[in-house]
Amino acid sequence: MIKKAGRNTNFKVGAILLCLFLILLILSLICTPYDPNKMNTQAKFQPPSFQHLLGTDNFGRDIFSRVMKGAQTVCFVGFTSVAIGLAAGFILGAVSGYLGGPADEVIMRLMDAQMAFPGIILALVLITLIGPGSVSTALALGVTAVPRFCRITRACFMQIKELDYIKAAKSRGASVPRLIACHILPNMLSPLIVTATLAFSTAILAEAGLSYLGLGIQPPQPSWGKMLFEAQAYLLTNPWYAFIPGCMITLTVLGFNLLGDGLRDLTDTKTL
Amino acid sequence: MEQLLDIQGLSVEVLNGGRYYKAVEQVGFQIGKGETVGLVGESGCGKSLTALSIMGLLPETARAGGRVLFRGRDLLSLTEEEKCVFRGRDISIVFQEPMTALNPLVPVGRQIAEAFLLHHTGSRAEAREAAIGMMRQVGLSRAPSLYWEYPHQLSGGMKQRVVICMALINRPALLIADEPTTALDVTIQFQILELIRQLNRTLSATVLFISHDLGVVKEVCSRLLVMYAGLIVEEGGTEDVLRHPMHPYTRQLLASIPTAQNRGRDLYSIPGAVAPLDKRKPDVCPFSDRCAQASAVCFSAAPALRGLNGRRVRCFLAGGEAIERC
Repeated sequence: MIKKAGRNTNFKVGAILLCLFLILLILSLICTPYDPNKMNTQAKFQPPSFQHLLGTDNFGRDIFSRVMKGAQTVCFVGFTSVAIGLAAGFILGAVSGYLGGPADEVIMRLMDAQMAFPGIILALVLITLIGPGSVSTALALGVTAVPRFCRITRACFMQIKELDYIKAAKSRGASVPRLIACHILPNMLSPLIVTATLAFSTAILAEAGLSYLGLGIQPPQPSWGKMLFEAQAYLLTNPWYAFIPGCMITLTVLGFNLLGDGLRDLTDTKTL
Repeated sequence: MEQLLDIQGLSVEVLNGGRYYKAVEQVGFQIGKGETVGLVGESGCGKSLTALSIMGLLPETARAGGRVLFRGRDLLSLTEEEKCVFRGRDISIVFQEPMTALNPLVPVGRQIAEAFLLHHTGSRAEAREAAIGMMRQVGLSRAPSLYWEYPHQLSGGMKQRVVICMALINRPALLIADEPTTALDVTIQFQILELIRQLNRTLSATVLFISHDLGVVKEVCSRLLVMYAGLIVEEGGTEDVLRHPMHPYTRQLLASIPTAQNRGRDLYSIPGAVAPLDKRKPDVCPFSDRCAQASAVCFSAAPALRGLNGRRVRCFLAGGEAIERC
């Protein structure tokens, strides 16, 4: 498995990018070079230098510190939304896939209805209803991720519950909760992990988009999407300001996508 | 002899294209304590459905009718919770395919221990002891290290021993073996048969042995039930049935076994195939379309299962009087 991982370029590049992201995140928890929200009107639009590694923005705030702090926001929104989507999607998918029949029909039609609705618009509606902020962004993105997890869980359940070892476990007298926890869930972990990784990158992108539109993370909390929006006005005079958060979003999303693809290739057990 | 299992008028209907078809009909037999009974017939004749309905493991698209009395209790009327209690404790089943009957992500020993813990209030360590003890009993060498191995590390024969371990660890009163040797090669087949015979003696387990292979069944069973198209067509002691088969189907089944005498010649096969569910006619003898001896009476009515010389047979022609007519 480890040997195979070493040969998989997608997995390797994705893992390296995410390691860099994690280092940035951990460092930001310990300390940042400057207070990310401290304004200094004397030092506006400074180009990258030893003092300010990535320069300063239109309020004279250190961009490097804000990028670091922004990684925390990304992480919070990503994890929370994936957790919400995974939990709700798994429960709905499990009920749907295990019971089948009318319950399956009702749940799947509800999921279809949600999927027919563009995800970002649904998130916009939800945020408008509950008000902007990082928590409501995470919640809204979590809700939009539910159908994805629901469908994959349902498919896995329908496939695995017919297998002989499930029948064998039943014939030993295992109850339904035990069957699910000990025999079905471990055998569907790999598609779930892959989906979660890919959903993480979707969430990052959506959060950046929402913040760019002004509905996601609220200032002065640093967010890469918001930084991109602020930098837009100075694109011609100070291009590096827009370049940095843009790069961060691209590289992080790329990292998660590559890791997800790599994991899918590595855990694909078509031969089993 | 004390009756352990008493099946009365069992029928199983299978949903197919919005309609229910009878796949098993009027199956009734008893199994006494300590007996080893064989249930034979070709693929699609309802052997496995009979076994699954005893266990309450029928697929959602099938439903069972009639009564399955186990120690006087009707298993078909149990709730799901009650089924969880008797499965694995009172009745266990060994499936045909050992390759897929084990969870690939759980060490084999822990799967055996799980079966123990589900019906005993013991610690994990006790369950482990019991599992290792049972693994030794079924002839798995180096049981303690095997305990932690995963199914893919074991050979087919070892896996089937593990599956048998799992089925027997709670000393069930009845063991259903659903073609336990079909997926194994001949030498391993023999070892597994030997094991089942030996466990039947030492643990005094009652065994319902399901197979399509008469050669295998005659090794282990004292009594034989022959099924055809969802019906029992013949029942009797193994020796009697094999020496003097009364039903033409049994006779032809016996003729299809390769032996030393017919070596080098083409193997006999019964012409035709079991009628698919939607083509079965309830008002004629189910075997009439493949039977060489079939006469007018066979196409006019369905024969009943009747007693004859201490055996049971479902054929108009059996017993002599009708054979002379045709």
